Amino acid sequence: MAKRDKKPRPAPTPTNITQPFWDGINEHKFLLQYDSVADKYQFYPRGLSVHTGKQDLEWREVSGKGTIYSYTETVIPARGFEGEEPYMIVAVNLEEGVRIMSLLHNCPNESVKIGTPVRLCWDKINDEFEYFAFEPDR
Amino acid sequence: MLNPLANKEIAIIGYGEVKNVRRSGRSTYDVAAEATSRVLEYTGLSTKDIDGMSTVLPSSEAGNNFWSNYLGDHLGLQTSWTQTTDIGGASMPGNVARAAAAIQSGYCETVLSIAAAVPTTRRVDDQRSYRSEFRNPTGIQGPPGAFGLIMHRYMHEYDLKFEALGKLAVAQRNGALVNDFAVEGLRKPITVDDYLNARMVSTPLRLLDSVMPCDGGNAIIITSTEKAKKLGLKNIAHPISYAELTNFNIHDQLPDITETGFGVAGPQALEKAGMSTDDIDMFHPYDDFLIAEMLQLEQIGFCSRGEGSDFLLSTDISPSGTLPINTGGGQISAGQPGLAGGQLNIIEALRQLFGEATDRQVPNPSTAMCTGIGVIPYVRNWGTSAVLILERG
Repeated sequence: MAKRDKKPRPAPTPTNITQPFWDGINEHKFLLQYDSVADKYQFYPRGLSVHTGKQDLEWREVSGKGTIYSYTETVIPARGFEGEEPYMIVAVNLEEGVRIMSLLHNCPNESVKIGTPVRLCWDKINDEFEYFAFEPDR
Repeated sequence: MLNPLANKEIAIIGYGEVKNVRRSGRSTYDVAAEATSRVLEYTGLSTKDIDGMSTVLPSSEAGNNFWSNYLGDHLGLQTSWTQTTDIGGASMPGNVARAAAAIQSGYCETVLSIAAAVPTTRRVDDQRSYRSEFRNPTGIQGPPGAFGLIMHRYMHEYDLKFEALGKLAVAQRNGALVNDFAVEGLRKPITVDDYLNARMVSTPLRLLDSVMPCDGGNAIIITSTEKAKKLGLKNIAHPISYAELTNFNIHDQLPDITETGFGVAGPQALEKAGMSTDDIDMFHPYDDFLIAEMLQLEQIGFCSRGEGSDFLLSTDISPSGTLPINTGGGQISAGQPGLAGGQLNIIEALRQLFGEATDRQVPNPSTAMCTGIGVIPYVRNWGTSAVLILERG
């Protein structure tokens, strides 16, 4: 079977809502929206707080540490990931009380377990764009 | 609990279905035209008898922000109530309730509820927000990846027996074998071992857990029971209860992804109908993935949380069984014509209630529960949960 051509990995197109988040990622800072009235974080970035409906959210740099809530090993790759399979996607509960999904790096797929501590790491998409992933927090 | 459908003043009077085909090369409008023509023929009505239209926005036409106008124009419909619903696979059961409300409010009398989609011929949808920024760049394999996450978490919390999902896969495939509208490529028998040995897509989700996209469409006609009687129609089904919930638990940033809006909408729909699950003669759940059906069984209340596997293994779910499930193959074995797939289970329920299901006929059913699921949110469960209960008139 002919090897499928690798397409470019999809890069995010920032909006005015998410630009501060991506600016942070490109500077290797992980920023979350924080609602000081509710004393809660949220993810993904939104135009208002899901907790209170108010727009006065602040961006706070957070630890990026958490534990694996669930995982799935991708066997049939998504567009832009051809040839990288099998790769691991994890849903992570961050210490700040939000859930984030991304790739898991630096960890054999067969050793992934729910509850494993992980931390954020960086994952270059292309020359212009940094993305975020996770790795074991040993 | 307020239930505007309780007095059975709304009637579904017929259905029309187009065969599911992969890469048909057809236009969405052509599929819609065939479905419309078939339901008009079934009911003996003409386009001039229709004064309302509800539909779903399919991915093959999603670039058109005048979809309802173009569709109604193509079909030759003059309507006083026109509605496109875009809550994914919950749109078409949702349209039954919306059409009923419009008829009861006097906006129209007879509604064509039409779904057509050709996603394997043309896709022009472009979903931004969390999807383009926080989902696609991660490499997660779309809906199969999201359901892989749900399944692993379910396995962490409860006992998931894959042979139970295999039994469901086989039962639905048996339905597709005798369903002439199913995708031809899927009309081959499978065994539980075939399911267990199927290729993984995104662990622990296998190829045979999943729907296969195709092109297709279908339509029903909804009117007042009074009008149906005037027309002298013999085949009538009443929508007797409906409940819908979108963005269940949205304020919780760490939700349990094995818990869905069906835990609210399911019991609500039953309570409105004054029924328990024992009163449901057949279950036609929305089936994008087998695990979604098991979660619905648990959360609507056919069995307890975590007991879906044992329930499926101990229940005869064939057409002659105690709880027949997706007797026409469901979307998983008949094919998923994009968002038009969200009405296939209603069509199958009507066929059964009208006694027209031939080789897969459930003996004398009088009630059916149909469900709808809409959209995959960001690392949550699904977006919309919808439950519709039908009763033979």
